[in-house]
This record gives sequence, structure tokens and C-alpha cells, in this order.
Amino acid sequence: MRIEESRNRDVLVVKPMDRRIDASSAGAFKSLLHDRIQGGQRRIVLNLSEVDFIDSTGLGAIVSSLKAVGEAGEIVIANPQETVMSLFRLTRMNRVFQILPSEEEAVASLSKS
Amino acid sequence: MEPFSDQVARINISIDSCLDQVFMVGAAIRGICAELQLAAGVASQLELAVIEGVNNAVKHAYESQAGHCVEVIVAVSREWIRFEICDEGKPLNFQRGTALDYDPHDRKNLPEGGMGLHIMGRVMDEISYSSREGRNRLILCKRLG
Repeated sequence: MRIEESRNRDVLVVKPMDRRIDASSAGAFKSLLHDRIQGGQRRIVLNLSEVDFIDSTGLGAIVSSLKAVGEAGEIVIANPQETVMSLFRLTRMNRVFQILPSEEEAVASLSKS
Repeated sequence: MEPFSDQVARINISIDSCLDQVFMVGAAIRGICAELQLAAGVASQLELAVIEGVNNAVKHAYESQAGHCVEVIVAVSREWIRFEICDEGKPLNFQRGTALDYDPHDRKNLPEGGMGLHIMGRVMDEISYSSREGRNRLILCKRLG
């Protein structure tokens, strides 16, 4: 799975570059996120601008990572496409995650907290 | 020109029971939905629901073992589109309308799995499952228009 990573102060920005996060790729995606979390990263922006399909297994990987950052950490979703937002709404995960329209706003949100 | 006639049109899609191949089903569903001129939001939800059904067949019916067939029969009329997802693996414990019940503020207990059936139920108008003579059938139906 192709992923771009960048850092802005103590915020890690993870940007999947593949169009799909599905059952075939969710394991690798989850492993990468958990690896960064175990390395001490607790504030993560997940930029989903390039992703147009996530299934429930892919969503499960994101949820698992949110649980792994603990109560003191946060994962903010940035710039999801409408197809991905639909999945968050169908599963009510739009009430779990903070979802912002741009990476810049997501980074700023975590930098303030 | 009408996108299809009064008759029911059908197509069978078969993949090996391998998660790496499931995206091909999604591509086929997208193509069919585009031909039917369905709204983008409807098409993407139909793709998601069918993918969830196929994932269940691969992961649960065949326990993620490749080398078995998962068949998706798509039937379309003027009024509805129906997806029949068939496998010959282990029957599923199917509970129609399984609610996804959780507290969004209780982070420790958020669901990481078990969302597929809920998604299918939310997207589709009718959903049923049967297992007879070694063949399992998950039927998902959506009314059009």
C-alpha cells in the first residue's frame, strides 16, 4: 500500500495514496498505523483525499488505531471524499471521529489540543 | 434511449475466494451502475454493500482460503437491482437487521468488526440469506427510482 507521511510539530500526517482501503490492504494499513503509535505518535491526521473506497475492514483498521492512541491521543480525518463520508455516516463513525475539510485545519486542530 | 428494456437483465461475476480479487467485483458493480445511470451516491453504496457480502463469503464461509468460487449474480429490472452472492463454504450465522449498537463516546469499546451486515441492511431495501444443499445465497435487493 502506498502511503505518504509528513510531520508538522508533534502531528503525524498519514496520507494513503491508493484509491482503496479494503479487506486486502487493511492489515498492512493497520500495521503501519500501529507501528507509528507504538513509536510514540499520539496525534495523527489521516488525510483521505486520495481514497474513494473504504470497506468495513478498512474502517476497522482506523477504529483500531484510534483505540490504540488512547484517551490522551487523537486521530483526525481530513478531506474525505463523499463516498468515504457515506461509510462514516452509515456506521455512525462520523460521531466518533473529528472530520475536517482540509489537512491544514486538521493539523491546526491537533496542534491546539 | 432507455438504459435497459422491460426484461430482467442478468450477469454472473465469479472470483476466486481471495481478498485480492474482490476489487474486481467492485469494478463490475460500478460499471453496471454507471450504465444504469444511477446517482453516484447510490452506486457507491451498492458497491460497498456487495463488497461486504463478498468479503463475508471469502473470510467466513471459506475462512480466507483461496481456491474456491464466489459468484455474484446481478439482476436488473426497471424497478430494482438485485445481487445474489453465492458460495459453497461454511454457512453463516445470519441475523437480519443486526444493529450496530455502540456508544460513540466510549472509545475503548468501539467496534472494529461486525459492521458489514449493518451496512448491507442500511443500504439495501431487502436482504435475505439461505443455505441449501451446500450452497449459501445472500440476496441483496434495492428498489430503483
